[in-house]
Amino acid sequence: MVTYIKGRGDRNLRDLVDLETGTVSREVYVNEDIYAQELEQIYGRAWLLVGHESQVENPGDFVLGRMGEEEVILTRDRKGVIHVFLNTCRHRGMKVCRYDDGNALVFTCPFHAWTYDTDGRLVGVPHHRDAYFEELDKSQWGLAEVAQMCNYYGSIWATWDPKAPSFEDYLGPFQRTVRWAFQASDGTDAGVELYKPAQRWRLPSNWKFGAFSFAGDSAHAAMTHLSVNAAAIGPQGEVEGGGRHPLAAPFPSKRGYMSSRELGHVGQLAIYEQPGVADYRDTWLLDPGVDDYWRETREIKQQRFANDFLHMQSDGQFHIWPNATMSDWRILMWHPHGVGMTESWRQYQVDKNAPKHVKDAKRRYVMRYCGPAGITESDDMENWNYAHPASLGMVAQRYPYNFQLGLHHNHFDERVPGVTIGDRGPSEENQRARLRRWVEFMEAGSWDDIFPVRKNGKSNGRANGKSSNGNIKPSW
Amino acid sequence: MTQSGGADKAERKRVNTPDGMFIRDMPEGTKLELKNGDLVEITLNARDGGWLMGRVIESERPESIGDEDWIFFAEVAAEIES
Repeated sequence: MVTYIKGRGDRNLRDLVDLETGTVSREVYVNEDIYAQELEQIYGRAWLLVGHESQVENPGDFVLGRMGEEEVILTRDRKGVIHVFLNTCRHRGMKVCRYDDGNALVFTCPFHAWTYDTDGRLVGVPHHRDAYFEELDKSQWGLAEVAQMCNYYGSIWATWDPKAPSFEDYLGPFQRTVRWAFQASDGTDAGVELYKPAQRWRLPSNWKFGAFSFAGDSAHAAMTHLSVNAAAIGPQGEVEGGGRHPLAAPFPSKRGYMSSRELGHVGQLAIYEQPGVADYRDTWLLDPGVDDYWRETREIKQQRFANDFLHMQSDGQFHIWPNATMSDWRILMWHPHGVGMTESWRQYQVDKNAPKHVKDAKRRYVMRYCGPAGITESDDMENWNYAHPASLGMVAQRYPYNFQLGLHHNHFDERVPGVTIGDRGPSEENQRARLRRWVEFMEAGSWDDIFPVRKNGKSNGRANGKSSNGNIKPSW
Repeated sequence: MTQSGGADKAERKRVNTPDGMFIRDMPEGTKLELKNGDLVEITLNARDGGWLMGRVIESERPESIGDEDWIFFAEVAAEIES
């Protein structure tokens, strides 16, 4: 367990993150020793989003992904089983796969030609008979595979920690939220595919600027996105004054910042006052025929969920701890790449069965909104890319960041157990929830310290039992 | 002496000999003579220039006939005319 910051005296991490007062030291974002601990304490332990099954539809298909700073191969073997492997040869460390995606029978290291089947087994070693004298036990030298993997409604998640809880337990009250993000527009589970390839680029800022801002910082939008709103990049063009989001029909709901303080997952989500799904409102006014598809699928979804309250299942974006932001149309992954660099990945869901003109229209919209050239995200990057270097200075680090927006103005709602809600205007509660989980991960010696959650805590008053280590298991 | 009842090793007609990446585009079914004398038939080709899967059809080790294993290109002595 690493609790103290190496080389920075005897200060404790909790001295740097004070969630009672809502202040956070800039060191949390710029200190290299803290960053090194994050890789081990967070990325070596948490469940991480790796990709989607649509990226590896056929036996032998593969696509590269990332877990923390490290590159992994998501692949489907010849028997159809999906795997996640570290992309490094067990012999001398060379990457065994240097293509971003493709189809292969084997992964052959270009260094000494050790070769691995798509199920990870080491199947070929040059000179195995004549120079290794068949004494090398190939069964012990396969590709390094993740400790646990979960295909959750088509999305592929993995962890390096064999002691991590099941992925469903890891999600807690956000299970239905993640499930919803991979439903087709008619409500069919696992009904989407991803546009190929992923957009990838590097931002000169710490990974937490993006990862802890999305799904929790709407206070920035009025100023930061003033120009993109005026540019009217939404599918409706300049109708009703333009804007960047599609038009939507109203539906009785209470929207707010909803977080699992215990687990670190957060969202800008809704609690509905009546069952069912909102009517569809035409919005693709610049692309003839596209609204027809969405209207038809919405009607199917309305029939399917006519009697269901879809709390936390639609109407916003959310974030799964530590670095995956998503909604029903986009996935944003914030991969650490050094204390002052983030490798940002964007992927976009679309109905598998949508006609081509619908897929094309949606692709054009998401690309002008998101990604390295997307107008909205360019606004965000501008902020983070300057905030990081402006926080590096010796004097600058004397002044903490302020996370006091909506502090101590939260409540609970029995319709969404295990969730803290901030809905009295903009709130930074969702950012505080991630920082709270950040401290717990950074201090923890093992999963026993952080799951079940909140040792000696109250777990929103809904605890239903204690585990052997004294922690409380919530009741979501 | 061969154990498979097939052509004697000396009778094999070599149509190609190893030269760098020559195995990369060989189709399945191609017969190859290995440096250890075995005759194998390609059953899968990784098409990476390094490795292919072969089934042993002639060998001085009769217990190995029928075995399938990955073969590194440097183990190949020649392509044999079918």
